[in-house]
Amino acid sequence: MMLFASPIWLLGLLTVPVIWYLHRRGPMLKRQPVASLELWPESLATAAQPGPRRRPDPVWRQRALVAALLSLALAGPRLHAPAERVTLWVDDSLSMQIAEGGKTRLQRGLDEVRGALSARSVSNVEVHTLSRPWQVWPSPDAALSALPTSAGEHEPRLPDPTRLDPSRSHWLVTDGADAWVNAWLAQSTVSRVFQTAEGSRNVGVAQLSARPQPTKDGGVAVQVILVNGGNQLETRRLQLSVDASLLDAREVSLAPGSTQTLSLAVRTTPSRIGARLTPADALAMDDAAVVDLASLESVATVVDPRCPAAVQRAVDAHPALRRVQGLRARLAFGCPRIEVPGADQVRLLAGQPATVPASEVRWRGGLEQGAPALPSTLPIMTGTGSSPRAGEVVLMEAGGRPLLTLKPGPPRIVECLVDFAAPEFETAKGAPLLLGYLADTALDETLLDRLARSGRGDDASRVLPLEKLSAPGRPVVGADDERSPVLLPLLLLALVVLAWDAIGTVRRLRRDYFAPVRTAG
Amino acid sequence: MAQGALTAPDLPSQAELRSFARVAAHLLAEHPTPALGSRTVRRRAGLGLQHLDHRDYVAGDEIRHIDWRQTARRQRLIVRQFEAETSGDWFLMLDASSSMTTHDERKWHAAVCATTALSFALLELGHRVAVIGFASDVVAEIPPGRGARHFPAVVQTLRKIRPSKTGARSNLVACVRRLFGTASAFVLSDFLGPSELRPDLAALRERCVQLHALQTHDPGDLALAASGPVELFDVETGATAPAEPGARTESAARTAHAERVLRLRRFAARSGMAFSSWNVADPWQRVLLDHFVRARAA
Repeated sequence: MMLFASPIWLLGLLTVPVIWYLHRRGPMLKRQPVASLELWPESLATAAQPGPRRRPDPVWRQRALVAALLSLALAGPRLHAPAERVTLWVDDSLSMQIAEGGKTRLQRGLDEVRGALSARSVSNVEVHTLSRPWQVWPSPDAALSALPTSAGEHEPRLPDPTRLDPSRSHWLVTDGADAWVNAWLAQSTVSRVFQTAEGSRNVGVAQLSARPQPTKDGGVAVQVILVNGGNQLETRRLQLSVDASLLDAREVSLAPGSTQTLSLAVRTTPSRIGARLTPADALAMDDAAVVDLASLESVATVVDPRCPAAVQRAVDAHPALRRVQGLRARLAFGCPRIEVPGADQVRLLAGQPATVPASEVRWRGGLEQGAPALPSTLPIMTGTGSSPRAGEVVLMEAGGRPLLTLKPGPPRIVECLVDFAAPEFETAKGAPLLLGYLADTALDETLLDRLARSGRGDDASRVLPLEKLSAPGRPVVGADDERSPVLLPLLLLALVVLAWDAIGTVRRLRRDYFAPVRTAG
Repeated sequence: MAQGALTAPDLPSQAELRSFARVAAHLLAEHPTPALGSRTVRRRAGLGLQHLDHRDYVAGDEIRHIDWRQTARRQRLIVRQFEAETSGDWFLMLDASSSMTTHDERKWHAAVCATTALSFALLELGHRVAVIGFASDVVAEIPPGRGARHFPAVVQTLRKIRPSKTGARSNLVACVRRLFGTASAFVLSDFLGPSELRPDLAALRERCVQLHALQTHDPGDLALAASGPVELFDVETGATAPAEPGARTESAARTAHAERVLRLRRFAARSGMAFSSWNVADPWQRVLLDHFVRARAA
């Protein structure tokens, strides 16, 4: 079956009857000027006679042949249909979930893709989402039906645009509201873009965060970031709830494209905090956010009873540590060791008391800035401990003696040769800070800077298309596609006929207009 | 007489003009005078100074000739008529249409020669001479003038006229309104136009005392040099028609031309117009003299 790469060029075949019409009056005769046609009655009579129709100029066949050959050549005839293979990239970000005309942008885009795939009879389709680009749906129908339910959960994680499969045509469904996706598109070889965006109003909760307060009675600081992702001034009512009760409600007005940050202090430490915007808009998924504060709970800590009193007091005073009895703890302070399964440990080793000037203490590179302040004379234990083994990290040393050593876990163990029983720590305030540092190191987190948050960021709520997108790439010919075998012969034949006709025309012009006119007079 | 510089080879020489003027003087003078000192004047209406009679005003009469006293008395416009004199106004009308330019402009050059000679001879006889070149409209015009100084102006104007090769039709009636008073008109044209320009000649005849028409004809207009089928192109109208060159076609053309000449002769006889057909291969002197001889005899 003959197929054409650019069938629009076949419209050029319509020029054939036009060419015939232009030549219908017969061959182009040599023109002879005369003083008056009335002197040539026979000629006038011949022209006026209805008579038999004159045969068109036979040169019309050559010119029609040229037009037909050129049209066929430009149409790109192929003996076999190119098997187009399409990779469909679907922007399943939050803004694609906005409802427009009863359907989400994603659904509308996928509907367009369905139509385009059926129009081009594409059967080899791979579907990827930008949120999970590694996942492939083998069947287009399955992918198109499954996508709407999972969309909007994650923002795009874009693949390397330069490494898209060059043997496939790449299509993209997006709304153009994400600058990163647009930039990715510009660098990619995507050959077709389905941009679906009509609505331009949305206010969303970009982020809801809670941070524990370092106070005696606890409490959290709540921060809500709202964003107006549309192009109109919007007013919403923000409701903040703590566990099951309403904590606060306030009216918020946001200019187009602007963000607003609201802060609130909660005296207690609830298990969850929620924020909701009312009334809801077309994109309901970003109108509410909930943050679970379970991750902010104090760390259960076991303290070896043999530990010095300064250690006991420091643990009790730490707002993020909670002393417990028993074996269910995340952190254990041992003097020198205590067995708590699964818990990270801080081991305060014993030995001969000694002191080193603080000026001789050296922190591991990069730790000086965050290291706690030490007394001018640091009491330490000597005659114990061992040289660090492979994989262990010396965090602090003095005179070549390791004072703090981290043994990466699990469980993580920090061995300390600082003498917390020394009088310097009875009066100085350095013990809590140093013990807090040991706890942070053992747990590998900053206990006093914990944050629980929820939200997708500012860009997720922006629904206004940033630009009218266009595909930077060209359709890719399938690997099994073959170049038209008749293209070159058609072009050559057209050129030969065209040259033949041009030579004839030149001869005729020379005969009629450049040769001297001889008259019988 | 005029010492106009006739350097162009296509214009008659001074000697030819003087020779022609001497011979033509006898034919152009209304009453030739054998000797100086006496002149017989026949009283008839014309352009002169002596008042002859009155008549009703007709369109085209000069306003200055209206006799206002007689007009007031008779309650209609009355103009004075004056006694005609032997010297009058001659309007030479030269066809500058595209049909005059075929075949190396032979007809055009012949007509220019004849016009030059006529103006020279008429000025020699003391007439006032005006020259009008016409095509679709008047393309050049020399107002009536008298005397030796007028001839160079005539020659200069004739040299300036450049007939268009195509698209310029013959519209003789455009010259009619240029005539005034009692004038004589001489038309040089191939009369290749609708009805041989006879309606235009009829309109012209009503505005002049005497009308001469000299039809230029080039035999080349009736021959086709090509061997195969050709497309005839009317240089005036732009119309085209296919033709098959051959004896039959050219014979039909000659017949058509003869019929056109015959229709013009009959029209001239009916309307009191002097008419001659001129094969431009013939010398202009003989053609003009023959024409005036025939006109005088008529």
